Amino acid sequence: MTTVDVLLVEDNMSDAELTIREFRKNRLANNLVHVKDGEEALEFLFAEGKYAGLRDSSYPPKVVLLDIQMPKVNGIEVLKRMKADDRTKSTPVVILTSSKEDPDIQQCYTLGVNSYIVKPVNFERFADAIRNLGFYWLLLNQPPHQ
Amino acid sequence: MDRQTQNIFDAAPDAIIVIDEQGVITNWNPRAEMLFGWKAEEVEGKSLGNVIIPPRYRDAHQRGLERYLRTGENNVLGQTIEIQALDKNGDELDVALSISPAVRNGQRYFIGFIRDISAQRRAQEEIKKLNATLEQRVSERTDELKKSIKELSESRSLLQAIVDNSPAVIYVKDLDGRYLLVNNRFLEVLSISATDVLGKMDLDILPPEAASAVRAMDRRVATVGHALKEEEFIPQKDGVHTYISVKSTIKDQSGRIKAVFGVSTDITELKTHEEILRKTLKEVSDYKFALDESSIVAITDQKGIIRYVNDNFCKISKYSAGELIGQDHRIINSGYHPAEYIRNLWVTIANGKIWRGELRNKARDGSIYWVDTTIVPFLDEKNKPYQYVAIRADITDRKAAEEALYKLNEELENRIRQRTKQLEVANREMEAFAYSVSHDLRAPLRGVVGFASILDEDYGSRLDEEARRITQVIKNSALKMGYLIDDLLAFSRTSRQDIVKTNIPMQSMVSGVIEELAAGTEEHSVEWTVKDLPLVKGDIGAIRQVWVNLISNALKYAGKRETTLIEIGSFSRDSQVTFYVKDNGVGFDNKYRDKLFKVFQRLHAADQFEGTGIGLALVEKIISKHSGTVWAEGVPDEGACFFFSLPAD
Repeated sequence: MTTVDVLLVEDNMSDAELTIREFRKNRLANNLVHVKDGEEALEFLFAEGKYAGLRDSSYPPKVVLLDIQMPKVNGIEVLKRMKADDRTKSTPVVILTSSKEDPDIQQCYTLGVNSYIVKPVNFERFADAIRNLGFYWLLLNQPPHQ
Repeated sequence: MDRQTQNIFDAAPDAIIVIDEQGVITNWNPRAEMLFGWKAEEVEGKSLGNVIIPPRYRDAHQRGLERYLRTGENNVLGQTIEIQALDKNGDELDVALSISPAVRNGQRYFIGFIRDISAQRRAQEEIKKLNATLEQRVSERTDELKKSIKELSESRSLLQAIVDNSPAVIYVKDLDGRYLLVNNRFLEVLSISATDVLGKMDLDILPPEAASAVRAMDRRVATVGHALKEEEFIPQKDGVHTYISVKSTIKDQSGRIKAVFGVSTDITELKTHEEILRKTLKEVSDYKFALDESSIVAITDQKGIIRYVNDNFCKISKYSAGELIGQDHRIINSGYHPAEYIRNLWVTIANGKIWRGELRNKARDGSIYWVDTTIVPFLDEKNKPYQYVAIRADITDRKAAEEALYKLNEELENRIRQRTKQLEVANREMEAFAYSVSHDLRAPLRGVVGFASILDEDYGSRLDEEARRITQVIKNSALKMGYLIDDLLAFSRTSRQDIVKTNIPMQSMVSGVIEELAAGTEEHSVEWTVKDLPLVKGDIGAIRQVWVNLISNALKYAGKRETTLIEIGSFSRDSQVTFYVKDNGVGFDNKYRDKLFKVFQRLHAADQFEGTGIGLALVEKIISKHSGTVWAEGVPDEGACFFFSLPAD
């Protein structure tokens, strides 16, 4: 559990399943961790709570796919916490959300998100988006120095 | 002497004295006795010289006598000489003496006849004196007369000058009305010469009406016998002049009237001025009346003491005039205005300037009234105020109305604020709703579409055709729902958003939209005609959406023609710029054109043309937000034309 490529923070099980399926199809899901809400995401990232002692928080994931609307702690909160912590502030964050509402987009960029993707309803397009995303952030993009 | 001679001698009224050659008295008649007082016996034999001749003449007498005796020459004989003689008392008498020589018995005698002319002499003296006095008096009187004449003459000249140069018209007429005298002014005003007037009558120099009026007055004057003063109207070169004529009579010594004279003064101008003054006074009086009727008026002296109030003042303040006059305005002070306001009022009017403002006053019964006040200082020649005239209008009702209006306004403002808040809240709720819809509705849809796809992908080989068709239907339905949600959200967002107007480069915008949309229509040949499009103001994003919707519609409803013709252009009408998108596609039945722009309304079946029915509703919403209008015309199977107008700049 030392290196995690993708941290998928998604509360919708259907969406999570579709996303993971896509990653898997493209053989990008080897080191993918899925957490169900913001609280768990934070616990994972900072090796707290149920993840205390289970990982080294000094090794953040290559990319965090973050939904916004989630119970307990929402995506914006997680983003803020990540940007506030030296360990995670450089970690690329991709917002993956249903909302195309402008305030959300603006706020996320202001907070320093790297990318904002709206999940299309059209499955083909969704699949494309995920695939592109995966390739880009995991293979093309140069992650910050670990 | 003989008897006769003796008789004559005795009876003679004059003294007869006879002397001889020696001068001795020989005869002395009774008259001589009476005259000189000597009796004959006393003086006979005496020398005449010593008896009756005053000493100063004695020598001349003696020598004269001797000369005559010697030579026969003398100065006195045969003449009557006047001389003085002495009487017995020694008084001198004035006598007239005449001596005749005679001879008797060879001796020469002298007979002297002497008449006492004292009385005569005295009378003569008297007469002389009288004469002298008379002469003196005559001389004095003559001098006086001369002086009088001179004065009279000067006086007369002066009078003549006065009459001649008098600004009044002066004239004298005889009883027949013939002019005897006129002064220069007379000639001037009637523009005639003296020769044309003197001796002539009024009828000769004035028009008949004027002449007869003048003569009528003359006759009246002659009848009453004393002066009359009347107005006379005389036509002159520059119109009819009004004169005040004072006429009177000139009487001769017997008191009979022999002439009428008159002095007439031109009062035409005076009358005009009088008329003007009268009119002005009436006007002023009318103004004052109007003022008193319409307004509340008070006049105070320069110290602010009330001197006059009109009825309206008394009515509104509920004080009587008697209670107000002599007071100052403190009597109606309500204490409402700050001291500064009142001070400013006084300073303004004391400096001679008009003050205008609203005042809140207290009536006698304590009730309050408002007045719109104008205070006008009346200035004397030194430009200092000597009285103040305050003209007011009752605005109590207006003030109350103002107050009410103000309150109403505040209430309305409050309500508006409240309503705005409500709307804001509603808006935010809508936003939240849209957000929720956007997020929460999409997720399950994604699920449906996604898993249906997976089903197809992973298990498609195990499904029969029908199953695969059903799967497709499931997917399509979910997709359709997704589009609907997108459109609805877009519609909702547009409704809530304020449009931001800037200059829109229509030409380039349309080109961009065409490029974008044309990219998805390679299989169909489309011929684009884009006319020159003017610049207008509008929300760039929103108007772009309009073009996207209209042009994509034109492409969508293209029909079965070989070449789709789409024309885009514009024209100006009134104060609007109208744009249109015209196609030669399937068109629509014109009688349903009103339904076109309603949400979810479609004029074609879903299986013919896909679409949510939101597109045109969105266009309508956007354009109406821009204060423009949309409309369309269509002919089935020939084509449609969609118009939208925007206000010109």
